Amino acid sequence: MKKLHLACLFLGTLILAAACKRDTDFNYYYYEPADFALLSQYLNLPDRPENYQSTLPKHLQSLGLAARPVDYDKATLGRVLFYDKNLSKDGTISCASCHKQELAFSDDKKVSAGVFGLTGDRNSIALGSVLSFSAYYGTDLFGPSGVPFFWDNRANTAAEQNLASMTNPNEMGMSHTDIVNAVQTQPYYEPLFRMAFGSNQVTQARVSEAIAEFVNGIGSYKSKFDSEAEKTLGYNTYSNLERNNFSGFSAAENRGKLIYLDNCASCHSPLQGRPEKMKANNGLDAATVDAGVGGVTNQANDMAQFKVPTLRNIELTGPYMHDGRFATLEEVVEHYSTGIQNHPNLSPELKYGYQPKKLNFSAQDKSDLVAFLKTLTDQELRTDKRYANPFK
Amino acid sequence: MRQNLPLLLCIALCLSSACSHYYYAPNSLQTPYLQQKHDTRASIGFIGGNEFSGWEASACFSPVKYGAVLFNHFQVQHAKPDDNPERKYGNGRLTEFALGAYNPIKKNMSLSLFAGWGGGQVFNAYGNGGVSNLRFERIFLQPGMMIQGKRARFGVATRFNRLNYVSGEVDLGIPPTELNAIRSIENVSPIYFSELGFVGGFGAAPVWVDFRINLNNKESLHSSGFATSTAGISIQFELDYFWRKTEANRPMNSFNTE
Repeated sequence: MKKLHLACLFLGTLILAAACKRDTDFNYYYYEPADFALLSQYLNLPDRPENYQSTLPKHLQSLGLAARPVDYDKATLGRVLFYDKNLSKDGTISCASCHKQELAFSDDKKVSAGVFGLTGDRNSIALGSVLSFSAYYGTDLFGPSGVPFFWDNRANTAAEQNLASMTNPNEMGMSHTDIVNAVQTQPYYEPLFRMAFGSNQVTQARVSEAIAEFVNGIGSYKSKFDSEAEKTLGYNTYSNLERNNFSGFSAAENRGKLIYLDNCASCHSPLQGRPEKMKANNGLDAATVDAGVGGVTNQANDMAQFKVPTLRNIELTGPYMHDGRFATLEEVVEHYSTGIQNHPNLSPELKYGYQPKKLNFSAQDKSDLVAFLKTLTDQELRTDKRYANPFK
Repeated sequence: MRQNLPLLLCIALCLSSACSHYYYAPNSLQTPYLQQKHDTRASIGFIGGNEFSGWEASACFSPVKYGAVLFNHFQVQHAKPDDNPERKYGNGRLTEFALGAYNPIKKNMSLSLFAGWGGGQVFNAYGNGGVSNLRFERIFLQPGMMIQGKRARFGVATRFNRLNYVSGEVDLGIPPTELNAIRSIENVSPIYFSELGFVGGFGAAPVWVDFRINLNNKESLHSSGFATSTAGISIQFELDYFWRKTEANRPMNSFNTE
């Protein structure tokens, strides 16, 4: 009888336990809790990596452009490195010092300030002037159709580019050893390296790779121009439909678009995909002041030739040209209207016979062209939290 | 029946979901053939499902007439961990105890009813560095029937489960479909569902070889990483056979001296 009672007691306990709804305790995490606590002391990072993959609009896809796959962990690490001033010799400069997000990752100075009050020798290139960093740059994957880095096209990959900037004595002034030491001494890198590379071993190559992965995640394809182009063209980019008025554009913007297509697009790209030319002399000076690409190749016909950028976010990225000589877009337009100099390597697109072309824009043309150029601004890029400074 | 068992095993495996990450799989429904006080059964065997396999052990003892205690342990894994961080793998285990009653009917049939409690955990690594580790408790009520002849036997049981996932650590970096499955499990927990188990065996006392199929009846759970079925083969020993034999062989005078 006693045993029967015990059995009943056991069954009763089970039934009672079944009747109770016990709270579940699920913890969702990406980083180990201790790692995330450590990261949170220094950084404003979300509890899991941001999605850095670009999905290009149809009109850019149909040009054969596609973003490379981005490793989110490496990009997250790269984002921290990009904003970390410890990566400069005097602890005052980070990549972001000369590539400011609110300016489409450009600088508002002619030439940017480097370590110890030194200055660079060329204007900071806007990282956000491209549809997608990874779909645009890099001759490593894209061959001759991929755009090389720097105004003089001297680097082939984003990793080469960022290493050259970190080790430039006028910019960040670091040696390879300095870079590794600077990273190793910061506690927040240990978990970030582990997540990105599977181990916390810090090498200069890994630092460069991570920064490259972050900038490869930068894309600017949400401008007014893009939304109108996608609406009007879709995948039909070989139809010349871009010459039709865009319904969402003002009359001035549509007129400016035609002026752009007739006078500028043969170098800068009709749809702001990749540029039509990798290098050009645009007649800033009659004689060579800065050798540009010629300084790298030592070829006479490369002298004073410079990278041809696409013009996304051009409104935000002044001062303009490789030396930042023009403060405003109006000055730039004026240069092409009346100021082209007859350099021996002047681009044929800017010549009539042997003489420099004078486009002689009217005041209305200039204003319309500038209005169109402002449709290339991607406001979302300026505040996108994925690219923001993560430091507290 | 014996000829059909391999076919049934294949069907059970094919019925299993193609998903390679599981958060639950049915262990075998034990249907011990109990006839009298001190009957003791112990079994060990192989069990598997679609893309996972492992082993299970079970023991049952009748301390009183019509009463029994049952113990089950079940452990399976999908692939094996190694140094490759991109390797997908998983494992799970469950240990449980039950109290029950049995009623021998005629000479070759035994009905049983067990009520039990147990717990376990299931771990998955998703090949992208992400992992999940869920712990669960299960309460069950299991009626069953076993028919045993001289050389063959057959049993069937159904198990009514209350499965509660009490805690979990889940990496947000795991694939979204898996994350959704886990969130769904968390939201619907505790989960009430039933399972059906069949066993067919051959042998002779005290050793039997059993083939088992265990089916999860709740279809809505299959998309949440619940294995639809498992199949196994086990060997069972009627341990009481040995000590009853010893007792029977004991000299009569040993009683007399007490």
